[in-house]
Amino acid sequence: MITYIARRLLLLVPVLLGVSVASFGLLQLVPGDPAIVLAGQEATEDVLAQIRHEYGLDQPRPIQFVIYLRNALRGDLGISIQSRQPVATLIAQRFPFTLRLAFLAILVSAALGVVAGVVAATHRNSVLDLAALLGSLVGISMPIFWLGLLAMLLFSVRLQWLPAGGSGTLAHLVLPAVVLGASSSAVIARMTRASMLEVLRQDYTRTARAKGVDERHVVYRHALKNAMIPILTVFGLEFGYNLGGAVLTETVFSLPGIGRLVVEGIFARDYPVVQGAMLVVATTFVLVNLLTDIAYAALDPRIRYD
Amino acid sequence: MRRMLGLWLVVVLVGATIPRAQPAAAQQPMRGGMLVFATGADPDSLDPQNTQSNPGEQVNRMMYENLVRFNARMQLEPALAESWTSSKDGLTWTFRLRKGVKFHDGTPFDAMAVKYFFDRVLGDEKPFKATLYSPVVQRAEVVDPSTVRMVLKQPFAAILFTLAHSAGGIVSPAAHQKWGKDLTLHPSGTGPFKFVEWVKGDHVTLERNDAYWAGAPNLDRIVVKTVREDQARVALLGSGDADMILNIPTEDIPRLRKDARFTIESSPTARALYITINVARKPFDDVRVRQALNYAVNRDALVKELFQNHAQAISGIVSPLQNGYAALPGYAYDPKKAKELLAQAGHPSLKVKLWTPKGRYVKDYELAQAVQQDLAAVGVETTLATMEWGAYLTATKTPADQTDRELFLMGWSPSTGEARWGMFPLLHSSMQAPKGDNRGFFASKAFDEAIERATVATTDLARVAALREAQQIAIKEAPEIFLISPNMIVGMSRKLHGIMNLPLELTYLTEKSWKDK
Amino acid sequence: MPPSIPASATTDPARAGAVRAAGFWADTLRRVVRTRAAVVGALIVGAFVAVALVGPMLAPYDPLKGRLAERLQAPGAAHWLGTDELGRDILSRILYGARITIQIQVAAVTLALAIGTALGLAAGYGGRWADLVIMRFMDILMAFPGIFLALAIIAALGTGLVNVVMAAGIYLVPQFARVVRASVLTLKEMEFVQAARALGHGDVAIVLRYLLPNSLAPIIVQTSLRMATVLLTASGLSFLGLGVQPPAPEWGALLSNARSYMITAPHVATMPGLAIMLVVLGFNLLGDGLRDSLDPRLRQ
Repeated sequence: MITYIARRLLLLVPVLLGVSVASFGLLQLVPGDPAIVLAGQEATEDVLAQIRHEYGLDQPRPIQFVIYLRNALRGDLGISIQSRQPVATLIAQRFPFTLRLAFLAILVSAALGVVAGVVAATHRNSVLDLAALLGSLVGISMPIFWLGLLAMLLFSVRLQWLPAGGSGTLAHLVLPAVVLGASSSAVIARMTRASMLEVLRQDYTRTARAKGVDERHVVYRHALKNAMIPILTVFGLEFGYNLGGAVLTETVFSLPGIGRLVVEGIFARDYPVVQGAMLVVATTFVLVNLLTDIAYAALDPRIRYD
Repeated sequence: MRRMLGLWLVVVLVGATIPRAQPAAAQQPMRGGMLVFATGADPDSLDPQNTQSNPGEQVNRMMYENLVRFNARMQLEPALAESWTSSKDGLTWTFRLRKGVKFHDGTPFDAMAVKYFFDRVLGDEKPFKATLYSPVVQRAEVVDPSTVRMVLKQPFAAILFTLAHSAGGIVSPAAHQKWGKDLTLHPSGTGPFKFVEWVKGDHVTLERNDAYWAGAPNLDRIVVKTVREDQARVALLGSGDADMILNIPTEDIPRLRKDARFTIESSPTARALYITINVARKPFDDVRVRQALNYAVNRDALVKELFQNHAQAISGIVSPLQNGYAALPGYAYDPKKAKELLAQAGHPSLKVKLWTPKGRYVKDYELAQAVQQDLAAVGVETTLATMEWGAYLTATKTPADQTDRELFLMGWSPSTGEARWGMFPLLHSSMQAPKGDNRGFFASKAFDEAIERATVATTDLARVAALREAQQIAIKEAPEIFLISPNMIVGMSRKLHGIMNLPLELTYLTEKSWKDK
Repeated sequence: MPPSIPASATTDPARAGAVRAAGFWADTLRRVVRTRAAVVGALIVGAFVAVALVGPMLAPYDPLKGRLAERLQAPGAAHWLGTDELGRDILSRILYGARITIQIQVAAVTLALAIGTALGLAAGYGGRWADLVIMRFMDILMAFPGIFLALAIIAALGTGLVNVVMAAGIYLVPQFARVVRASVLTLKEMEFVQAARALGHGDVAIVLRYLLPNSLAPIIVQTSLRMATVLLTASGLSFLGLGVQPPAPEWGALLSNARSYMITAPHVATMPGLAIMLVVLGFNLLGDGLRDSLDPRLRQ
């Protein structure tokens, strides 16, 4: 187990390094004077000179990257052109919100997905199974932003049950979390169903049944537990999917998350914000995946010898 | 009998379509409460001398005050100056200042602070709005702690209007000295509300100034939220999360008017919306091309269909509500003529860039797309691009040799309420960007001459005549694609009272504003 | 992904491959038809391709010319799906939009397929170091969740059709690479490949004659599924205003403009959204069906 973790951590280093190179490279691709890209067009000559000095813009690229990395590790992600605040502060304000939203969405998708999947698996080839399957297919196919708009139209405007945007209370998170979770729940439902079916067919399940264990016992104790293993990996993937989907959800519902920060940063040509947010999001995602993989390995020893 | 019924029906229908005025304040103002005010664009600055657009001006008017101000009927009244006199030759103005007023940071407001204001706009710092004052004001002098004297370079009839402009907000000298360029993040004025925080792109929070000289305001807190999406903004009003919203899409007005909880007011403004043409770039230096673009646009359809008559077509750059407006014939909708002119100029087809903001003005994005459609019909293909408002202002302010902008949607509402300021900053050759708001680099000797005559005119007759001539020249030279003057559409909860709505398209709150529980 | 080898395989690797291939494809076709969902998917995709090809010719109106006087009309006789906020016929815009959509899809998937397959082959067959390095690059690309990667590209390069293709495409490269790599890793151990090596066939020949053709199945499955992903990514970008710019009738852009009229004229938003959903569903069904038929034991 330890060796597995050690190996994964070792592999993490090049990936994180690569992520920082990618984030650094992002700004290099933008046309124009790099100093203006970082400081904005309103910046005066002395501010530009200062920026050039601070970020080593007159030095070769590799050195610029080292400076960038060193700053990032110290928590300095630059200054936002639009708000003149440190990018790290802006991200610290907005990222937790998105994480909360993604987490809630996973809860929703887990609840919906696992239940639907179990129902479909235990009632194989029945109407319920078909309905669950169809529902999950539609769920995967529906564009999040469309689902969000429709949900807002129905629940906020027509029924007035939930707020249409903004933040503050838990109620503001309900609609976005459900919309975000709905698509993931489809994936989880299918995974759960397939996984359950597989396990239900296995020898040890048949043995349990032969031993006279009550059917429900079979389902919940044996089948579900073993079926959860592959589902766990899906959670890791879905977290990433939710982070991505959060961008669209936050835009539809006007939420103060990091997704909308990035989108508005692009519209405002606020490159330091975009760059910083990308780095933070990617790093977080990589770490979450690592944790999920370790959890997976802890549950299923076969994986450790990959 | 039937005729009576018909008459009653007409009365009822007419009565139902008149925008509802605020109910007469027979009720007692209630103290306390928080007001949430949702707008479509973030302030670009909270430093009054550097603010370029209305979202910023609105917030500034709640924190800063001027020597004189407008009331709701656009009449000038005393603010920080209790009274004033002018010399016979109109060159020297003496202001008696209000005593016992303090800035939010605790420093006293006095003649030194006013002189500091003039020194700032006349000096080397050259804040963006300096051009409001520097051509006409020579200097200011302190007579005694509550008397200040202002000396003009030439007689200037509109000087009081100019002092009432949002850029005339008096800033605490101590704050300016301490924060310098960062003053925009640390506002300190004398107004009824104090700055609490500004989360850029999200909201500005203000709180009551208990030491306000006219008496502590009724409201505890004001939150000005930036909500770019129209429907999200409207939804906030409907759910009660916002008490007041601006820029309501015209299609939603009939539906919202049915709701008894709020009133929707749509009133004409002094604002003009137009598409600036970068005349420094070929082929827009050819007046025939510019005129062709003007013939191509169907303004009446824009007003009637896109804005559902919550706007009016204007023939030039000055809108009817501006003092000094002249009703002149403009460009009719004539696509054939447009094509002819383009062919004559040697450009039967063109590919140009069209920039537009999104959410800053009511239906700005749709307006740009509608113009895009009209232009395409005469052979002018446009590629549309949009930016966030702050970035847009910046991108349209760069000098001619550093930009590739061609056509871009802009709006202008002279916060002095009169036509000279409705044209001078946009078209005078000395105001070319980045120094001023002439973002299309227009320069015409004839126009310069006419508008300068309007500036120094000593009689109202001469001023209006000069303004008329300036407008004529502007229309003929077509440095813009003239479009419309949109209404200001404000939706507010019936619980609100005492809201200040200036036809300058400025809506803000005063110490008298209050909110029912 | 290991298709079963009939016992009649000869020792000549090439012939063995060919015989297996013929029976394999026939078998697949049978299974595809049996899977009804896949058939439905195929029908939808087929309809979509047809619309993209001939739709613009059938469109009743010019998608870019609207008359303001006719704006926001509900579906009716003159305009079957109604008109949008500038008076343009929605049906015509959706028909033209199909063509734009398929262009983006084909371009992005082709790009990703070419690059991803090449990388996957190299990683699977090129030895431990190649595998390690290439897969780390893929990890780096996959570290940016969902639409973030696309946003990064757009932030750097700007908006517009070409950049949307690149942004949507780059997101797919790791998917193709992984699938091809997995296939190659399994195939590498198989008898006929070992035999070919023993016979002295060059590496490039082995890759092109044995590994690539036998990896087609997962590639095809991925292609179908990724067409769906591209559609969602591209329309998502346009919805945010960062994709294809107006007046181009890309479906996501249609939804974006329709947001302001959700309450007063919901028909403007319903149709484009439905179109996106149907096409995505079609590609998903087809991809799933293909996957199930090509290997029922395949779980991923």
